[in-house]
Amino acid sequence: MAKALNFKYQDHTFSANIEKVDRKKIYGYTRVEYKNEKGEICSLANVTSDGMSILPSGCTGLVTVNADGKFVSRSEIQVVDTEGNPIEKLPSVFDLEAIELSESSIEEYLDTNVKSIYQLSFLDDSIKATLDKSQVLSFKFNYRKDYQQDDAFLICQDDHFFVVTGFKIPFEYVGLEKQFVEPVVVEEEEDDMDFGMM
Amino acid sequence: MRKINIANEKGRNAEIGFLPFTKTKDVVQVDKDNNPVSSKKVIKATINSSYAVINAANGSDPHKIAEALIQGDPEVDLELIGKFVGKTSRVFIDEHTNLVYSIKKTEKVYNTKGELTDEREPRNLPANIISDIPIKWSGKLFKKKDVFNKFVFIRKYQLQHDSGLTYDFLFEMAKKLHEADSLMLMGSGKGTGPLVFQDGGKPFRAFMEGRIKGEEYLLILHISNLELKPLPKND
Repeated sequence: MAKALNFKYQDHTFSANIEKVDRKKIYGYTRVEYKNEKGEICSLANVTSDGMSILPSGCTGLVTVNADGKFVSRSEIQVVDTEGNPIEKLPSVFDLEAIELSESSIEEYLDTNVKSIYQLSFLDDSIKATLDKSQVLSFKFNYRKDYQQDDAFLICQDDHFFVVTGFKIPFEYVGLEKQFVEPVVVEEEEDDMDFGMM
Repeated sequence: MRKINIANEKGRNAEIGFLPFTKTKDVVQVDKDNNPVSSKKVIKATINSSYAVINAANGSDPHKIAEALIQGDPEVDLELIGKFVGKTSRVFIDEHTNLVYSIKKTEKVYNTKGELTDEREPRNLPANIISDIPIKWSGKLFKKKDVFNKFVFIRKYQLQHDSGLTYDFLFEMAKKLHEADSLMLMGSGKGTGPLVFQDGGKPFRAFMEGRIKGEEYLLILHISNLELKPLPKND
């Protein structure tokens, strides 16, 4: 099991393990199987544009190249910010002594495109009585060391606590003077709200 | 800009443009001369250098396979390895790496424990966001404070006007939702059906949020396919 996360909010400190939540674990999942006329399992492969090579899964890889298309080795690559200044990787949340939580709002949380959801299990459940369950708390999240961080929120639902990560969209209000323009395709229908939708 | 045919509470509809959002990168990878670098897809192997083909060519005899690898390097195609991969087409191949021209698709349904529960013809849902029948207000309002932690709103689209008429149409919607401090369930059918954004795409629930600031508005369509609930306990 991964290390526990250590949080700090006002005068409280608490630790929790996290477990990823996804549709597969909540509703199950579907998988499409392809068979030929003999009933044998088939798989998808790519054919190059000249039609000369068939590339089954795993036959391609990624390399890093410069503007001239020349190979650049990993050791030569540097990471810089948009102004060209070299930057260092930010630590994983698992390596932080304490993740400082700050108060946020429902709107800020709603402005976030969601990347991952984790369910928290507190090492000491007594913290549940201390946290305001209607409150949205925020922090920065990096599962692994990385150059960029995600926005993250700690929220509660029915006595269960979750961390929701993603990126906050800088929405802009629009007025009559700002305008836009173009279309796409067809229809479908259903009545009840069924979140399984499989 | 993509469009969605959307109706307000009075049943009046309009085709409205919407914007998706992607995270902008604040970091750039450069080489030692500070020139930007990029990733390119290259060929690592081809079907002829795959284990299945080498295995078949050597009668599944491990000694023969080992000898062939030492003598002829059949696993390395020097002409192709390292070549950039441009546009490709998708084909089906069987277990023996032969091309397949006719396939039968079956969708297998598994429960949360990974047990097979059903087999069926795959569903191919048609897109329904820009059909003759608009996406409707369901009339089901959910207070923001009650709903924000019930569903996971995975993606957001901002709806924007392209004329004075659609400005009035959208501003009114935003104002109603702003004043109600609520999200409105939007959907196909009677307003509660799922939205499908492209043919063969996945179905999503949609909730509209509106905010106003003076004469400006912000209309956000929140898309969800997941309820926020605890993981099932392992038996």
